Amino acid sequence: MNRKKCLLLLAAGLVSFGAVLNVCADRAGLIEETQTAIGAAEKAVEAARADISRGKELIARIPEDSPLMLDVMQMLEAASENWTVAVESLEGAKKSAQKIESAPSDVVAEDFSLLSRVNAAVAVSGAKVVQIGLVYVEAVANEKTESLDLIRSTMQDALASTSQVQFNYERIKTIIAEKYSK
Amino acid sequence: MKKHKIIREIALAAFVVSLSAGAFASLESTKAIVAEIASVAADAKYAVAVAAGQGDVTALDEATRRSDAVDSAVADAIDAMEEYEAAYNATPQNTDVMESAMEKLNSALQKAKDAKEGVIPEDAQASNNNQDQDNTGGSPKDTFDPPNIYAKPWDTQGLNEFYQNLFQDFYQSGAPIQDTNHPNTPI
Repeated sequence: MNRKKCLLLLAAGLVSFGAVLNVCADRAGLIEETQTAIGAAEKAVEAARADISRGKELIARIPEDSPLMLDVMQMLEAASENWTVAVESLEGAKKSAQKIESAPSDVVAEDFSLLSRVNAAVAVSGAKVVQIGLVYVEAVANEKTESLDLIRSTMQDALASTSQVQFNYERIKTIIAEKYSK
Repeated sequence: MKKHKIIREIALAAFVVSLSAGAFASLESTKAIVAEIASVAADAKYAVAVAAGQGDVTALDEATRRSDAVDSAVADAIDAMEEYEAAYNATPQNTDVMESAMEKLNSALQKAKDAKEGVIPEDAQASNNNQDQDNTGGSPKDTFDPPNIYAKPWDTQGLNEFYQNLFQDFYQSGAPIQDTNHPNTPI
C-alpha cells in the first residue's frame, strides 16, 4: 500500500516537474523567437539609417531647379514619416520583449511576445519604405529617369504593405487591451 | 503489472501537459501572421526598387517574380484570417475551421518567406502553363472532365494549315467585288 502511494506521489511529482520544465522551455522559446524578430528589425533600421546619411550627399547633387525636385520632396516626406514609425516601433518591440521573462503567466508572456514581434514587423516595413525613398533619390541624382516610374509604383505598394502591418498591429493592441479590461 | 499501469498513466499525463502547452492559436496571432507577411512584402518591394534603380533587367525580373509570389501569400493569408475570424465569431465557435485557417496562415507565412528567398512552388508557376492539360470533353448529360479552354486546336502543323486555308477561302468568298485582286472581279 505504501509502495503504491509512493509511486503515485512520484508520478504526480514527475508530471508537475514536467509541466514546469515545459513552461520554462516555452518561455525560453518565446524569448528566442522574439529576439530573432527584433534582430531583423534592428538590421533593417540600421540599413535605413546608413541610407539616410548617404542620402544627404545625393540630394546635394540634384539641381535645385530640377523638375523632379517636387517628387523627391514627396518621397522624402513619406520616408521621414516612416522613419519615425520605424524607430519608435523598434523601441516598443524592445520594451515588450523585456517584459516576457517576468510575465506573471504564459498567456501574458505570449501577448508581450506578440506585441514585440508585430512592433518589429512595423519597424522592418517602415525601414523598407525609407530605403525605397532613398533609392528614388539616388536614381534622380544619377539621372536614371527611366526607372523612376517603377520605383514610384513600388513605393506605393510598399506603403500599402506598411499600412497592412500597422493596421494589424492596431487590431492586436485593441484585442489584447479588451482581453485584460474584462 | 500495477507498476506498468502507473508508468503508462505518467506518460499519458505528461503527453496531455505537453499538448496543452503547445497548442496555442488566437485571433490576435492570426493578425500577427498577416502583419509579418505584409512586412515581408515591403521587403520584397524594396528588392524590386533596388533592381529598378540599378537598371538590371535580369535582377528586376527575378525581384518582381519573388515580390508577386509574396503578394500572393499576402492574399492567401488575408483570406485565411477572415475565415478564422468568421469561425471565431460564430456561435458556437467552429474550431475545425479555425484550425484549418491557422494551418493556411502558417503555410502562407512559409510561402512568403520562401518566395522572398526565391523558392517559389512549382504549382504557382505551372498555373500559367495550362496547355499540357488533356481536353477530355464533356456535356450536360455526362459527367466528363470539363474541356480545357487553354488547349489550342491548331497546335499541330497540319491542323494549323487546314485552319489557315479555311480562313483564306472564307475571306476570299466575302471580299468586295471592287477588289481588283479578287479572283471573281469582272474584267
